[in-house]
Amino acid sequence: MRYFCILSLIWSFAAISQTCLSDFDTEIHAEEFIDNGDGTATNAVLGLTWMRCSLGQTWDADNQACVGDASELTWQQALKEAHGLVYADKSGWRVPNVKELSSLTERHCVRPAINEIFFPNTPSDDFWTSTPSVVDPQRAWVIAFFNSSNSIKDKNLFVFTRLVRTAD
Amino acid sequence: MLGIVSAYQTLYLLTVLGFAYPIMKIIKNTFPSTFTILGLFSLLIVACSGGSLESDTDQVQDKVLVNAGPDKTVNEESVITLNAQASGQSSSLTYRWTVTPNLTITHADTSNGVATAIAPTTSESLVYTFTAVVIDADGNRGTDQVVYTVAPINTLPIAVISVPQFTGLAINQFPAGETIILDASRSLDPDATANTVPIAGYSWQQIAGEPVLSGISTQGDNLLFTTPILIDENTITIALTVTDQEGAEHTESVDLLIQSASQTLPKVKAGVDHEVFSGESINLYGQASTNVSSSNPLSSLWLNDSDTSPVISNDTSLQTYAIAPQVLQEEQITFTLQVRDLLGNQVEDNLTVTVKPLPLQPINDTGVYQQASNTQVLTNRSHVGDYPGQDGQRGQDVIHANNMSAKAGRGEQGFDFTKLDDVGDEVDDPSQDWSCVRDNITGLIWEVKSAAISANLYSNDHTYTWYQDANNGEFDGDVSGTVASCGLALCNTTEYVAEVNTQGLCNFRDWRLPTHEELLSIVHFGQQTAPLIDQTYFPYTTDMLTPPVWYWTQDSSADGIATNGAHNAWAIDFATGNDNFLNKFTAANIRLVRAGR
Repeated sequence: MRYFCILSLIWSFAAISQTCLSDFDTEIHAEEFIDNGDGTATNAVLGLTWMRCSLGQTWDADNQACVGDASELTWQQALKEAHGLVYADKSGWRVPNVKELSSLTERHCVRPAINEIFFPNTPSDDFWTSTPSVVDPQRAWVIAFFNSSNSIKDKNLFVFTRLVRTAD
Repeated sequence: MLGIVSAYQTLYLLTVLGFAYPIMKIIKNTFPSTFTILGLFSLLIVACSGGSLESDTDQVQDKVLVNAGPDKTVNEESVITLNAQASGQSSSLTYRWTVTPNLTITHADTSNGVATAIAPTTSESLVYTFTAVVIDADGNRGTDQVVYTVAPINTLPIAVISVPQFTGLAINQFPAGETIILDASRSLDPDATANTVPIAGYSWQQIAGEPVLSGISTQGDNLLFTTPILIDENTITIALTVTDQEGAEHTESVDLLIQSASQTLPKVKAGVDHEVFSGESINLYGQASTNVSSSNPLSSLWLNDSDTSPVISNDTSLQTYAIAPQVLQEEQITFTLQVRDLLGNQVEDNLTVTVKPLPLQPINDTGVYQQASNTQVLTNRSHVGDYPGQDGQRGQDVIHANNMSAKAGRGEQGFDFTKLDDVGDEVDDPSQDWSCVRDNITGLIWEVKSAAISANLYSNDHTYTWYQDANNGEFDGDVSGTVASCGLALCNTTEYVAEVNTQGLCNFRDWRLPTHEELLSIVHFGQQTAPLIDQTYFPYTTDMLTPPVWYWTQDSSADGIATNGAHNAWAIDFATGNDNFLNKFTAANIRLVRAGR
């Protein structure tokens, strides 16, 4: 009985943090990525390896959590931060393009609209893509991780960033 | 001072004489010990309050004579040795020392008058009044006072100048025109007291050489200035004087050897090591400058050490790019940037770029080959190196733009499409009609819309409401399609899928609504005007339609769900590339998909 209470407590917290469609089976989340054990996770179907934390956060392997505050950067700061970065003993990290970052969303859930097993402590907010708007020179595409939608935002705004690299 | 005094009378006298040292001996007869304590207590009160106390009328007699010794001046932190001498009618005397203001007194043996105290650390003179009280076996007492003045002793502070090391030059040697910071923060005061900053003041001064401190702040714990640019080598001498909290000063100086203008080398940075795939753009974002304006202009040259001969766009341009060569396995290429000034001084720096063979791409690139800065989108294939790794420098689109892509079919930028005819066969003749398009990257086969002819099932102006009896977020949507317009009995998405499968478009009968990810894969974000898709393969996508031109996906939206399920489903506007969740009762366009990898 006591265990049940604890479990239901945990469940109710999870329910508060993320809302999913009632016919969506969140158990498929556990199979969606490969945990590389180094703070990165790979989508083998799309050939993309993601940082499990946003830039600015630190991967805490013991607690399977991202700790610290995610950095809020301008578009140029985000690009420069990624350029030449070595993380998890790998280089080739970059800001994802709009299609890649859109593929990371979990469209059946909101706040945050992401697989929380692999990407915990994700701010429910805009994240930069590397894709500029070719129509509006002041803006670049972002993906909102509160509900998966895309939009264009001023490049001088301070926005979160998660990096990706092509799995090889 | 000498005195034999009883408590009450001492106080009385002190009061009367205004705390002058008593020169009178007052002797009191036997006094009950309890009264002695009371008397002492009263003494304390009166001593503190400065008030008077009634004297009793007991007869005054000499019983105990005390000499506390002569007044003295001692140094801070030294040992004060107190030595009271007393004589009385009884041989058994007990000594006690007190002091105002408070100080710890060590008085191990109260049978004699020797005691010690430590003079405190101080930066100003302090006065301590010690009182010796001596009591004999009969309770008779005598007292005397001695005054110690504690004098501060100041140790000089030590000025310390930390000089930065300029890479490649000798200690204390600097180029001309270099901004440097001398740091005094390691200066110290050996006898600083706790709770105060050791150094009260810093003062910088130039004592030799070309003046460099004009208009410079010279009172801080560091000194920021620019070295002179002169024809000859020269030395400047900078002195630092620090003052401690007690006003003592110490001065230290340093000689800085400044290079001549012609000795001063230009500066160069080749940029950050990075990793790219074959065909992508290598960022050669060099930076070069010189402190000496007469050494301008600088010339630069990019070199590399690879036998794959990577193409450098403009090897004499400081900021340029190279095309990562085709490699079969990971290869490291070192690019060296040489910079030479007008006087012939040459410096170089390098970066190492890792080039990898491009793995199989299962996801479409965006179509953006243009590069952007904060204010511009450049359509002329300019490389914007200060915004490194942006979409236009990575992936299939730039590989195509660099003429390095290998496609099964054709398509704009990185897109790779093949037309299929009405029986699903590949169409090679551009003049021939086609009904479907295969995406050679994702493996998806897409329906092609036709011109707005209402009798045509695939007409681009037909719209449908969203209706799905499964995978629908527990809300089917709108089966009636009354707001929509099409040639079917019911203009909803399920009806359309059923009809296309009945028709067997391109001989396939497994058509379905695309997921959001699938539909997004064919959006061409590099298009500046509608439609955002490769029109050569997907005509009529937005033709004659009023933006936004929403195309349905099969995904219900979890945002804003009510207790009775998800009322919204995702759609993508092919006029802008924007996506949104629409009420399932909305009339929107549709493009079906099948297969995939």
